Amino acid sequence: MTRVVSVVLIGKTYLIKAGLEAFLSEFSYVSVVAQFDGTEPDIEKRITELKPDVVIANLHHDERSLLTLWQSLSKDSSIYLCALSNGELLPEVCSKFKIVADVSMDKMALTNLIKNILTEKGLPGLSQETDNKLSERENDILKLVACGLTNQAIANKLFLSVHTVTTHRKNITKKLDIKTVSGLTVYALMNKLVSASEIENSH
Amino acid sequence: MLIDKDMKLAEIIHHDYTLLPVINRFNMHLGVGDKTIAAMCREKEVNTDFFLSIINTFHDHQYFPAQHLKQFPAAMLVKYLKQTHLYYLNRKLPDIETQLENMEQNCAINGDTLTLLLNFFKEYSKELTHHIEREEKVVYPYVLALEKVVETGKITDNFNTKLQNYTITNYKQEHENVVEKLFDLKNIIIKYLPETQNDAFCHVVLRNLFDLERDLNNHSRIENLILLPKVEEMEHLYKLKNS
Repeated sequence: MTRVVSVVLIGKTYLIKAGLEAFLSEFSYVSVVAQFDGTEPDIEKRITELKPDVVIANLHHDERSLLTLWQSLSKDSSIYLCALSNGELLPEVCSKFKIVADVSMDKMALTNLIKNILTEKGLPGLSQETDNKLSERENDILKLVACGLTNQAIANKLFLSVHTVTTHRKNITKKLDIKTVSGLTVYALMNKLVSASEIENSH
Repeated sequence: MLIDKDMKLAEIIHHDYTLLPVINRFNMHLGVGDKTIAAMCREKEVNTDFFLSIINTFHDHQYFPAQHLKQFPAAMLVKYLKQTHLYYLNRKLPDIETQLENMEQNCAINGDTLTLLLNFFKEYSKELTHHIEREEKVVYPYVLALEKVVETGKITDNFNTKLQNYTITNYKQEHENVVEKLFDLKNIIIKYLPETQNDAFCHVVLRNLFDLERDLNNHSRIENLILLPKVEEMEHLYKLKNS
């Protein structure tokens, strides 16, 4: 199950928000759900309704106007409040944010920052190595698929329901990322799950 | 970048050389000098607007002017699609087969993995060829006949029987498998190939498989999203007139 981290961007500068959105789109688990420039009268209500995982705000050094917004957002522990800034921030503003990052960071630092946030949110920052080894049962079924048996024939042979065979086949395809019977056959032969003569004989 | 009629063909090729085979399909050859697209299209008697729509579709996969493309006559679409078929049959498929044979001879991989891949491709190649032949012998003639009937309003008995035996909907499902097998072949090479010191041979094969896949995707996008709806509209019109 893929869950997506929803992000809200706040800032006056269009280009910074657009740039951030473009950068964030490189992460497959991240989706920017809304952008605000900070002057919207109902901004607090609208953000709360969106229930975002992360709020990223672009702040300026004398930022005081949104102090109440930061105060109330920081009380909600489910929101990760992150600030980007191009200079020193007022301490009372700074303290409301979980992290204050410098807007001039390079791509590597910014990537690490986003990955840290994702990890804290319980999500992998980048796709990770997964264990896609087939189970013994799946190997049995793959062999029979390679021999050209239909789902019904496989079910009969292994005393399974057709439904179970279908589920196994879906998992095989998902694990190996091979969709066609011919592709699966090549894979089975390459990995010596089945021999050419076995396939020959089954026809 | 959106390509327009006043740009020079040479600049376009410098900018995106992967368009070369597409340009070639319109009977345009290298040695383009300083000719603009408009001038070249005039010279080759190609509809500039159609040329631009196709070339932009290939250049930018997000760009797909479906409504615009639908306005062109089916005969023009079919002529183009036939050219792409020739490219697959005469160039792409034989090239990849040769490259797979080179791979088989030069990458010292134990066992019969490479032979398996070569056979897999040959099987795929046969299926694609069969699919193409069916389009050329059955689908396209049907489309052209239908367009003529709708245009002229003259119906022959011959055509009526054709229509009763065949509608374009039959053909919709045939496209999927062609794409899936190609993906599998690529993926087996990428993920499951035993280690070899001669990767370069495999890279050549892969690059060509990616090229072919991209071209086929654009090809079936034009068939499924432009030609098919157009033909369904014509079938509808025809049935309205003759019911």
